[in-house]
Amino acid sequence: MAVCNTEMQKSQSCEHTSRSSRKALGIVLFAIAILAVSPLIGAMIAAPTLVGGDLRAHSFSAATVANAGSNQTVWIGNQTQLNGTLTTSDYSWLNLYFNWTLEDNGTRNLSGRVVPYTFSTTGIHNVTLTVTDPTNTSSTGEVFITVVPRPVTGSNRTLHEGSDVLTITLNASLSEPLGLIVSYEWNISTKGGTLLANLNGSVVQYSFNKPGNYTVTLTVKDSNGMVASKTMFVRVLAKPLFIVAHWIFTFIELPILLIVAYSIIGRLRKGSGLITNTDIEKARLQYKTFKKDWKVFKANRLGFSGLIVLLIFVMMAVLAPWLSTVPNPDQHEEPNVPDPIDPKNLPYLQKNPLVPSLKKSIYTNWTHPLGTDHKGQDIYSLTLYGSRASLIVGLIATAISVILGALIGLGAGYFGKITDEVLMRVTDFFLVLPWFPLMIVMMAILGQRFMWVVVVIGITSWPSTARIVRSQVLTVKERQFIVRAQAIGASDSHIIRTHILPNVLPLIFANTVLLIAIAIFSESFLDFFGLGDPNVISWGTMLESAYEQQAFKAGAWWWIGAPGVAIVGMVLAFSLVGYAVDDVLNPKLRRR
Amino acid sequence: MEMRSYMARKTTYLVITLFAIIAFNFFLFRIMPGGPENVLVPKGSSEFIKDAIREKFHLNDPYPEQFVIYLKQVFTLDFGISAARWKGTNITEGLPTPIFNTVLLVGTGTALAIWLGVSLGRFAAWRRGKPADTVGMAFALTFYSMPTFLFALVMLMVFAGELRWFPLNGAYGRGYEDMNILEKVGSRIYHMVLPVIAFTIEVMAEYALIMRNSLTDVLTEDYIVTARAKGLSNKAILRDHAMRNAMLPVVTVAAISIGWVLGGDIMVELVFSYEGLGMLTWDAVNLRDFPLLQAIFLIMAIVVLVANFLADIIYMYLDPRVKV
Repeated sequence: MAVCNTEMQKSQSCEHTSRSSRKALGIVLFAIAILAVSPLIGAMIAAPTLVGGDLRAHSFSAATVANAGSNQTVWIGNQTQLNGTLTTSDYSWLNLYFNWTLEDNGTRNLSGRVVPYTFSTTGIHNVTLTVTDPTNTSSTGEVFITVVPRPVTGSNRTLHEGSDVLTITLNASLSEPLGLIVSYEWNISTKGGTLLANLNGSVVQYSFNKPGNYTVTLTVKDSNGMVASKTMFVRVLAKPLFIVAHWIFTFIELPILLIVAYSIIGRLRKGSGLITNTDIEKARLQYKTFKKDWKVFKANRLGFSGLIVLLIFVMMAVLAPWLSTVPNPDQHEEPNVPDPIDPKNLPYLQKNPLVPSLKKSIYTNWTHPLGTDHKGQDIYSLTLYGSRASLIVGLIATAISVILGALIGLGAGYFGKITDEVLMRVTDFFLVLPWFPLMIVMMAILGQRFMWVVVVIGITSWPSTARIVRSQVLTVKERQFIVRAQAIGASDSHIIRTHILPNVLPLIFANTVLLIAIAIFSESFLDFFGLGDPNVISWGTMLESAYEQQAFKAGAWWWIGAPGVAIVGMVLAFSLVGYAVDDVLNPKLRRR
Repeated sequence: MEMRSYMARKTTYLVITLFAIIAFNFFLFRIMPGGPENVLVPKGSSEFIKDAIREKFHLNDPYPEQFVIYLKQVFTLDFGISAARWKGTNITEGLPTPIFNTVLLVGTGTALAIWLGVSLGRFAAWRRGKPADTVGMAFALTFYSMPTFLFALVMLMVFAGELRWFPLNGAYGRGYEDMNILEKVGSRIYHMVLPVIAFTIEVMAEYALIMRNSLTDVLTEDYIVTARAKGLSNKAILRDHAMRNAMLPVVTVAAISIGWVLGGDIMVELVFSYEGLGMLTWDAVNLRDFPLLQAIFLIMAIVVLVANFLADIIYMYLDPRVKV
């Protein structure tokens, strides 16, 4: 009974084991466990002798040959890695001596199995590797390293027809080895491969005459006769259509001007003068109600502080060129200016030559109050300019959505019956569609243009406005003065224009302010998703680049913080003002 | 009887809207500038894939025939061929994993958000005007105005980048296939903590705001005064009289805001590189894989539609007064 092994455990006799035998079983299992583990522990203790063996005993036979690696071609100034191995690999590297000999401005000897080396002359270099073991037996290997001059073309360029001069200056005078290049040859061809020009000289100029994609290939030859070439790309973008280039003017300012002109002409033709007494009376009444509403609004502390924050943002947007510390925040500094580097950011530095830095620039003391990003762009100035994009999107997208929503809501509410049913079903349908994914899909198809961002946000956010307008129209429609206007034979358009709209619009004002907040929110989301216009400075794009460049790993909090605080501040301000206006204008209506 | 006709009408609407969504999804990718040939057939892909997509969607046929074919494909859960993400393979085969990951994240997050949001809203409303109310609402309003990706980014920076408590990306760790069930669950939970917290706090803010507003309205009603006059305890008033009525708007808004919730989910998945539907959307957009994008959008739209339908049904049970 004392020992109960696994075989017996399963058998009947062991099912009723007493307490003492269970204890015994535990001891046996423990012993087995120790026995099982002990070889491992033993192995760990004995490991150095077992694994390492005798380090000095080996010497290699005549069959073993040193291998100096494969032939390489490198640009001058680039480091190469000399990596020596042996054809049979069961030798400990520790007791072998690796010696490299090469000619580079005189004979050089390097030792070590893996050696980084940077050549200072071009040409085909013959590198000899000698491996010697403790018994002085040696073996040699050879490798050819071709070092070619490094052509410097400059970075890829994009030219805009209309705003840029289409002549580019190509400068290859920084090509290495400096001063030893004897010929420069530039081949400019279209993407299709048609050669357009063949130019010689270290600095040349070329004018493009039509939009398209071009390749520029630079071939340099140095005094040693080595040749290398490099290709860069030039994109020439076609001049955009007037409507697209000045879309804000075309779609916003022009219609407003036309409407104003139309009403002025209408008044002049009636012959009653530009400003009648009725107008003055109306203005006086409106001013009175406004003063009353303003008093209520001012009493709402949250709403009032929101308004002040908003005013600050508007000032930022308007005065950005004067407040910013760099002339044009989109233009980053010269890349060869070393910014002070925090050792913590070193792993990050390997990815980007310019680390985002909070330290002051070496130019001036106050150029970067909020640090820089990975390209050396000033975060503070970018944040200032970013408020412009947010405000434009907020206001115009909301205008689009209010116009759409008001038209549909008015139609549904005023005409009723089948019109109402159809329009409301359509509204319900768009209300059900998930609008974030819808925006993504539309932007992905339409392409990344600032105009499309605005339009897409505008046409995906109208359903809520339509519903509110409809409910307001339904209540106004039942009022006495509408019935009277209908009784004296006023047309539908007249009633809508002069009676319904003036009574409904103030009520949807609060909703409009809240919509602005959502539009700004959506814009930052689209930008962050990578669907924003890359040529427009906006907070969402800043955050996207911060995320893309892994600012969170480098601890670049200012890069995320500044645009982040700005977005939250602006959205919060609009929301607070919206709620406050809602309280003032329609105290009985439920918020959202 | 009343209830049955209500259900019948809601179901009819559900079916009609479902067809409308499928039709919308069909035409959205065909009427946009460039036409189906440019949108659905990506430029960079190989001739083989291009032909396969043309074949699959019958792009050379007239639109009505294409639509009938598309309908058939959708109802047999055949979403076509991926152009770039899963080069040339059937989209349906790749979808289950990301859908499962997203359901896990959104399910956990939404459940937590509703529970926490309602609790916070109730807590603030009951102490209306006191410091607790102000602090709670300032908290909710700030997070409501904060884009989800921003909060997620800050969380990522602090807890994954700086403190290294949690992983930087992924829905599960390396070697997931070889793990036993316990390790799999552990790895999932470890990777889900940050995304779920970011998602929950953002969504919770909205519920808290609605709950607080709705409950403060209800608490000023006459029947609350009556209940107090009867000598009921605060707890009983809150639980039996106030909360029952105040929950109604929360249910409505919960349904409407599903679209919002999906947006939040996409942002969170994007920031934490969590391999769900949101990340898949991002891949599809970046790789210009429009057949895949079409499938994802359809799935999201149908999910929102069904969620709305369910909310309507729940609403009816919660509020027997509903007739229209």
